[in-house]
Amino acid sequence: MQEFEPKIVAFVCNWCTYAGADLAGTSRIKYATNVRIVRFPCTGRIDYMLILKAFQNGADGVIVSGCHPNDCHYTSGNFHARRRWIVFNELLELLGFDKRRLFFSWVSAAEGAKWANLVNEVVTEVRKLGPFTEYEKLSKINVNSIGELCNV
Amino acid sequence: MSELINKVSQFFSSGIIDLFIGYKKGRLGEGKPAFFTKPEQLNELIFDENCIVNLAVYLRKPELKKYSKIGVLANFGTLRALLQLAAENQIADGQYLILTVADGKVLEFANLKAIEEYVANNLPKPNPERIAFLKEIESKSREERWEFWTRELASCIRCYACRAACPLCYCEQCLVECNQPQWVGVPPTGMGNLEWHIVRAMHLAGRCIGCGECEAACPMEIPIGFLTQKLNMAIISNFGQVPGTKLEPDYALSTFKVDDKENFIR
Amino acid sequence: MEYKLIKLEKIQDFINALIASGKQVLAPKQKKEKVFFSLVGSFDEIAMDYIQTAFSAKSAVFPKCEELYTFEKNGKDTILHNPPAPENDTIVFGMRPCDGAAFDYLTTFFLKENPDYHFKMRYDKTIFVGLTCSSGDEFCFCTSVGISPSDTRGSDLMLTKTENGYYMEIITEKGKKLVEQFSNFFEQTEQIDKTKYTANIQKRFDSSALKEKISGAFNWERWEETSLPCFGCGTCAFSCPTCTCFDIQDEANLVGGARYRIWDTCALGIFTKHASGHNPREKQSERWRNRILHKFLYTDEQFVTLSCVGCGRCIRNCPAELSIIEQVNAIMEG
Repeated sequence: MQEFEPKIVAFVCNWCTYAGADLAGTSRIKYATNVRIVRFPCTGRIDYMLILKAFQNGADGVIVSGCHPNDCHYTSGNFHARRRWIVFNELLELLGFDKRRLFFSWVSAAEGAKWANLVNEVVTEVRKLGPFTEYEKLSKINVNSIGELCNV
Repeated sequence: MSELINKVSQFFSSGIIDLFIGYKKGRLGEGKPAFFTKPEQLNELIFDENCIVNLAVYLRKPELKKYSKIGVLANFGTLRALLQLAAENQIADGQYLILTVADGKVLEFANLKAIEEYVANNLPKPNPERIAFLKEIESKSREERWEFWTRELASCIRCYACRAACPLCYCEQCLVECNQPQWVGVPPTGMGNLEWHIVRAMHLAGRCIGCGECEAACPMEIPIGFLTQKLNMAIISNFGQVPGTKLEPDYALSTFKVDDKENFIR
Repeated sequence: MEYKLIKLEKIQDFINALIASGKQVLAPKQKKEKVFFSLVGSFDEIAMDYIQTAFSAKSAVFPKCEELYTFEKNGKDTILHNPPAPENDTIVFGMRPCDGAAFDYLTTFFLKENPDYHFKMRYDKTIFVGLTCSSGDEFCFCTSVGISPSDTRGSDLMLTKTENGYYMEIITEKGKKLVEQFSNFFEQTEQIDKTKYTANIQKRFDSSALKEKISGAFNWERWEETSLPCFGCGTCAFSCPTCTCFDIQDEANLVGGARYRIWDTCALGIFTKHASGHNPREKQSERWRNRILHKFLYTDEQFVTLSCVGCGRCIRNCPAELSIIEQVNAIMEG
């Protein structure tokens, strides 16, 4: 039986983490291939709903990464993002969402090795957790069964 | 009560107001929202701790535009909502005549600054029953919490009564109505409902003034007030910003401190 | 018509036997203050002492969300799948006569001219066990709209609680088949007069006088004043046993998806909003007027049935405490 390979989606900022990932590539650092990178101008642009959409569409793990504090290309985008993540984390914690599958990090343009290590760590941890069906299957609740639809 | 009725009556007869939003006796003894346009109707006006509907929700109704000056009988939640709305530039100073009743005496607020002072001096302690309920939820395991919330939220019928009853939900076009992209699934599936309540909680985080109208209006008896309450508590303890207490905007999600905690960031 | 009796102590065994046979039993269940129709796993979960459920029995056949079909890509083709038919029968237990009478309107709307596949699929497999009301509250007004608290319309079996047990009227073939399957719980009995076990609901308004007044009510000048407390949530329409408006939504990704039918309500602003941005019912008072006239005038003209059964749910559930009874009386006053 094939071992489960997690699908990881990474939301990264263009100026730091994306460049860092690019550096990992040009340095020919080998790292896990499970990640799909989505490029944003800044972490400040990353809406928390996008993280949820990634999980809804089959991601088993999500990485959100950007410039270190004080290094943001737009000065304060990452500070606003950090605030947003703190509040969003509190909500996810209360709801019992599996936060072990959501990873935040600061990776600069010079940290190609850090990026590779981060992805490797994330893939290892999420592989242990298994596929993330808990969230996806919410789409199937309340669509047919009267027993489910009428249940308080 | 007669002091209140007399005062409002005088406002009508001296032409200061032409509409007064207050309460009259509801079906189970509590107060229901009432709109008075003539002093003769005021004998039905009541105000007590059972008048909990937040009247600030009516202030942006287009039908009210034809009245030149409106008076509002404000409970504590309404006062905080007025401050938050003012901080968000939704109402102007002097736009409404605001009254409340405290310790049996009628208080008339000369301006919004007076409301700010009153609110600062009278902020109530959090309800211990609600704190206990939150603690109980937080003591459950992650899976149990997930099971609890997804089950409760699955019974949501997406009537948007929570949104309609909230004085701070005043967007002319709600995010749910956006379909390019479709942020929130419209059908009340387990997924769509969870997404809606996450969006609602996040959009009210740091803005919710804790009147509890969302939970009171919910026809399915879902404890949704706890989502916004928890986020507000987290914002107050992490950043010290309390919604509905200042005229100056002080919104947690549009401000930041350089030393905000980041122990969760790798 | 046949009449049966089921002893008070046997009703528990009957319900538990229904559940054990694999049928889905939807019955009134108490949540916090309110009672909802819910799937029950045993008789003990059923609420016995209540006036009316918060939401109606229409959810059993017209649920808040249902899959119309699913679709998936297969190479260059798209394959459609019909939703699975319910495996087992659904029994709706404890449906009040007002909800039952609502099925007059619901079946006319969904089944008469172009039978709705999904409604029919569920309706054919649902058995309604009605329960006569022994009491009502000040928000019940079934008698004002031509319905009685012991009305048997819409029910396959009708129960009335008496001192000797539950008196049962077998109304339809479907009901008869169910009783035959579980015959050991029932005894034969004579027809009885239900009057002394039926609630006495006062008339709140005169429906024939209303019919006269309402046809000219569109331009009534007090619509705005009487609808000011309404903040435009969807609760009244969703809890109404006859409201049938729905929306169709697709949810899909690159490989497939589904089309859903979901409840919709005229109380929301976007219900009539055009793509141009123009909204013919821009103000809440216009939407409120539409709701009242639809219930008491439009469907009467179109289908010869009022689409209000006097269940009072819209009044009990309304967070701003508007009352359709007060509204109708205000229209009558002029």
